[in-house]
Parts: sequence; structure tokens; C-alpha cells
Amino acid sequence: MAQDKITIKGKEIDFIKELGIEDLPIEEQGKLVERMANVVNKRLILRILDHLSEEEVKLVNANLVSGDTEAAFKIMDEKVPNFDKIVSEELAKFQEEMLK
Amino acid sequence: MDRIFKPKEDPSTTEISKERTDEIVADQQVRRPPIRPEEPKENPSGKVPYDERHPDGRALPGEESQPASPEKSKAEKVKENLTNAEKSTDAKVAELSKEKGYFASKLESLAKNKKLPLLLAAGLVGLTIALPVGGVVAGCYGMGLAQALIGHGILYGAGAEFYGAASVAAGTLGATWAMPKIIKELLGKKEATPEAVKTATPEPVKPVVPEAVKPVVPEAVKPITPEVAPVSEPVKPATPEAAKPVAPEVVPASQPINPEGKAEDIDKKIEALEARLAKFEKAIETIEAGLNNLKDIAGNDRAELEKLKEGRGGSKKTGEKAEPATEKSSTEATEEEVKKGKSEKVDDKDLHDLISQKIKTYRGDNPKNTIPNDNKHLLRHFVSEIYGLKDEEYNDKPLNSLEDIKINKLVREFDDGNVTTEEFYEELSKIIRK
Repeated sequence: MAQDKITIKGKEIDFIKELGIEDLPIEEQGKLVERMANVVNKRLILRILDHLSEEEVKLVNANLVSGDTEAAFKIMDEKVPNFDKIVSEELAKFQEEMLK
Repeated sequence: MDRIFKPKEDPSTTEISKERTDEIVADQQVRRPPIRPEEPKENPSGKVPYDERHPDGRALPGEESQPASPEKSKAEKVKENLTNAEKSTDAKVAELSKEKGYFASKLESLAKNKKLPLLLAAGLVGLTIALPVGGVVAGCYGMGLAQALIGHGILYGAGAEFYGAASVAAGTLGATWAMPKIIKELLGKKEATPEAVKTATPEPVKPVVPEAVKPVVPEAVKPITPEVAPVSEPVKPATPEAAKPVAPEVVPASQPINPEGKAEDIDKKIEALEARLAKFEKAIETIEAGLNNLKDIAGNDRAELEKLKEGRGGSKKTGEKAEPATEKSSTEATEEEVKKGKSEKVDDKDLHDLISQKIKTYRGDNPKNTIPNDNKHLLRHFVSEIYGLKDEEYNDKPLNSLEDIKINKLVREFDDGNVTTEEFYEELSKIIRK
């Protein structure tokens, strides 16, 4: 399983290996990762919701449904300009939590 | 169990008095559950039963040893941490839900019923193969957006189909908008090279194909009236301009039944139904126009046929036979007339006779016989030619048993005069139309 390294606190690591789950069956790894993703996902939602009003969510939604992703990108870029920071923060936090 | 976890004997405590030993044993007996009569234990593995092992729990000689796996314990730890993370996150979600009165319950219900990880599933591919966290998070973000929207109660009322659509779009959004940033973040020292993006980006988007979305759509979002299909099988008009039947497009019921009865959703549903009704009404108009046109043409044809028959009738009356009067040849002669075009007119009675003769040709004289399958197609060809239809509009595949039965019944009714030629044709069309 070729895995890219990730950097946590300046240290390059293989996250799956670091977690010690690389020898688990792929299905089981998948289930764990799914759960992890759910957690990160929910946390990201919580963070993103801080930046969007209900009206804005409606607007983004309407754009997504109508296929106007450009417009949705624009709103997201405007309203969540620090999305990458949010993601990296949540990721780092989560990774540390998992590795502790 | 006490044998497994029996602590190593400390030399300093090895000397225990008899009284103390008895006390410990008595204590253990009190704590232990009552000993049940020994039951035969299943041992499909063929391994030495646990109780017959070495008192330390070690495997006996010859038995496969099963040392505790450090990976497994690590995995257990990961699971524990994960469970804690889930609990804390869910608590925050619940808190937000309580504060704002939305978000959590619906989000959680989606998560619970497994509708949630559509994109995630794809993210996992990336995760397990190449980019453990990047794929997930990219998928996550897209998913998260859809979730957030649903959480706001905007999408949920409209149903899972809506949700699926949003997921698709959101997945794309997550993959294209967030992915490079996430990869860059994840890879740390590595730059998010186009190759890296290319490797990771397609993965989260993969499951967002209709097949992936389909299972998410609950029963409620299925088209409300799929039975409208027969409407799209009108009598084929004979005029070129109306030759193509207007198949009313069944507007996909994009607005599923709204479990919460939101006015907004009802409005959308009303709009969708109105649009569909308008299409049906238009289709009905077109069909009616085509039918009227067909009746006009049939009337003209009838009149012209009468004239032609009058012209040929004299010679027949004299008993002259210009050609062998076999059923088939006479039928073919009339067929030729019909095929020649609209100038050759056939009235209803003649058409009926013509079809009757054809039926006899294909079936035989005995009305109790049924028409062989191949001949049913010939009959269909014949009838469709009369009405100027194209073969490609018909299903040439072998008839199934239901179609077979229907055609036989139809032919019998036609023979008995219970159905008109028009009805015969309509019914036949319905049965064998593509």
C-alpha cells in the first residue's frame, strides 16, 4: 500500500502506519477511516457553519443543485477564506488526538 | 481468566499461610458464578481447548502459538481514541442543535442510516490506497457541505434525491476547491504537485455517479406516477407531421414526499406536477389532432376505395377471374393497394376484412389455433404498414408469454367482431411497441 507521508509538527510520518493499523484488513481500515472521516467531517461542518448564515447556506445550496459550482466556489471562498487553515487545524488536532 | 492474569509470584510473598490461602479460595468461590455442569464445547478449529492449555495460558507444544499482536493493541487504542473523538464531536453537534434548533438530529439520522458516506466511500479509496487522510478530508468537505445544507433543514425536506444532487455537486466542490489545499497541507514539506492532485482528486468524486446516489433515494422519491407510461402510446397518426407520437416526458419526481410537510416543498411539488400536467395535456392535444387527421384520411380513402371497387366490380360479376383467387394473393393485392399510398383508399370494413384474411393466413382457418410468434410479427408488420408506421418503432424481439397471450386474445376478439380495426391496431401497438 503506497502511502504518502504527512507532516505533523514538522515530522514526516505515515499516518496509517503511525496509527498502527496498516496490518489490519483493508475493510477494517476502511471502517476506521470512515469513522475518522465522519469526525473530521462533522468538525469541519461545525467550523464552516460559523462562517455562513442560513441565507448563505441556502444560496450555496441552490448553486450546487443548479450545477453552478463556480458561484458556490465564489461564496465559499469569500465566506470561508481561511478554509485551508481550518482544515489543517482540524486535521492536526484530530491526528494528534488519534496518535496520543 | 484468573489463570491468565495470574500475577507473577513475588518471592517475597510466596509464603502464604494455610489460613490465608483458604480465605482467598473461599473469597474466589463467592465471587465466581456458580459452576454449571460441563457441556461439550465446540472446537471447530481443532486447536487445543483453552482449558486444556498450559496453566499460564500458553499454547501447548504443537499448537499454533498466538502471541498478542502489538498492531492489534494499537488498533484498539485507535478505536478507543476514535470513539472518544466521536463522542466529543457529537456532543458539540448536539449542543449546536440545541442552541439553534437545527442541524444535529437530521445530520445524525443521515449518519446513522448510512446515507452519509456517499462521497466518503470514495474518499476511502484514496485513503486506503494512496492518500490516507487527504482523500477522506476532500471527500469530507464535499460531504460536509451537503450535510451542512441538510443540517440547516434546507435539503432534508426536499428529500434524499436532493441530498444526492447536492452531494454530487459538493463532492466536486470538495475535490476541486479544497483538494489542492488539503494535499498541500497534508503533505507538509511536499508541494501539492499537479500529479499529487491528479492522483487524489478523482477518488473522492468516483462514487458520486448515479449508481452511488441511487441507493440513497428512498421509495418516496420515486416518480409518483410511473403508470402514466401508456399515455405515451397513442394511436400512430398517419400524417407525416404528426407521425411521431408525442411521448410525454415523465418529469422525474424531483420533489419527494416531504415528511415534514414544509410549504416550500409542497410548492415545488405543485410546480413539478403542473409542469408534468401541461406536458400531458399537450401530448393529448397532439394525439387527438393526429387521430382526427387519421380519421379524415381514412374517410377520404374510404371514398376513393369505393370508387375503385366499383370500377373492378363489373368484371367480377361476370365471373372472370383475372388471377387465382387464393386468400393470400387477394390479400396481397389489397395490400399492394394500401402500400401504394394514400391515393389508394381502404375503408374500415375492407381493412377489417384485410386484417382478418391476414390473420387467417398467419394462423390458419381454425380460429382455435393461435398465431405462431414469427407470424405475429408479420401481422404486426402488416398492420403497421397499413398505418404507415416504421418498423424501427416496434419491438422485434421474441414475444414473451404475456405478449403472446394478449395477442391471441386480441385476435380472437377481433375475429368475433368485439374490437374494431382501430382498436385492434391500438392494442397490438401497445403490446409490441418498443
